[in-house]
Amino acid sequence: MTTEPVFQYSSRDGSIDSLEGELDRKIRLYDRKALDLEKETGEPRTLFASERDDKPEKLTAEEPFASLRRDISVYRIKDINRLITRKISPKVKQDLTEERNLLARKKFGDGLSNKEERRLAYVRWQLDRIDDAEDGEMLDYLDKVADEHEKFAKEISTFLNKL
Amino acid sequence: MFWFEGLLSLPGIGIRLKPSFKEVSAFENSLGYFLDYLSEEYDDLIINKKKMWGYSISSKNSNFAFAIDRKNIVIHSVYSITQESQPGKPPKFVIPEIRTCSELVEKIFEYLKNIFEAIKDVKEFKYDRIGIFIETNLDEESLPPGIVSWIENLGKIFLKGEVITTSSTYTIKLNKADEYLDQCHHFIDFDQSSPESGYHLKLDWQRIYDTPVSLEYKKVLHAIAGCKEEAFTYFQKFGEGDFYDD
Repeated sequence: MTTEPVFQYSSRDGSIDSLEGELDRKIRLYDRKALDLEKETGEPRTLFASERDDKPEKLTAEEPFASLRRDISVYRIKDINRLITRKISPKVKQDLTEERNLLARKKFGDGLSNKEERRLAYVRWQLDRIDDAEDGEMLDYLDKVADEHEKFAKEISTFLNKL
Repeated sequence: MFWFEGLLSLPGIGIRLKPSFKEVSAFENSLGYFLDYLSEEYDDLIINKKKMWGYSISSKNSNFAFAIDRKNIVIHSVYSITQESQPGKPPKFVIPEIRTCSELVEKIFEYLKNIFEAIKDVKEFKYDRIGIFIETNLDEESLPPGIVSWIENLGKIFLKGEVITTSSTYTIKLNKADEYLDQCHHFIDFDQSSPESGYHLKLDWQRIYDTPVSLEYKKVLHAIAGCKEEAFTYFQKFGEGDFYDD
């Protein structure tokens, strides 16, 4: 089965940026079923971009540049970001951990300059991202399970009240 | 490590050319060497002719797309994500090989080297701008602290409130030297009332030369490498919020 881009945007003449309006979109999304359906029915292609809600997102070739962010849901991007973050070497994580510890010790000792405070916030953010890449999926899953349990508990409670 | 290294960041490099019209045909013919080189790597190249001169080139199996004509040489990274429907289940996304930003940039340099090698006999072409850009999509939790502060300040300082939605570009003059001007476009697009769409950020650093520079194969690669270093240092400072000396 062949696939073709669901949509591509073309030129933005007169653009001042380095792309010069010449390029295909950055993240190209292919939808096999939609392509087949379109061939059969002649209906516009409909794209289910998010796994977490079932609202179809209709995207057409005329979508403006600003809607690029709608190509794929942020949840999917988050998963891809986690895959990329996992490529960071353990040595980098170790260096960041040492830097964080050093800055944290200094913070409770001599205090930090504004620049060092900003660096500490950045190093913490970077380490949080690495931790999230390692354990985030499981935590998201547990979070979802907890939500389901709470929802179920509420339903039971409502049911008992009615009884 | 750069903040965008651990994120889905799509880098690209562009060079704006000042053509010599008597060499335009030679330029286009020389690109054939590069197309031959690319076709050895990818067997599904999609080559489109651009107006009178030049090509746009892409491949479903590649992480890159090319736009090369008499006015520009642009290489940028792409991800071709295939969505497969599964009966009774959410659609499955097939993701190609994931590469970090620096892996993608390294490959872009390899292609640039081959392009300049292919057109090395085109003597009178010049260039007057080098652009280094990255584009990324983020969820709110993944925003680096410098960008969080920037977004907060956009609302607080000038509008005395929180920005809920924006799609805007800020072009900042960074440095004026004797022979060139450095500037950066900062494009941000988000809508907090629709959090699933995330934050779309594009940083486009440019060096604009006052006088066009000769397109000499090794010198231009050296200039691009220097620009890449400066651009990435700037992007890092932007992500860290580290614009102050104190």
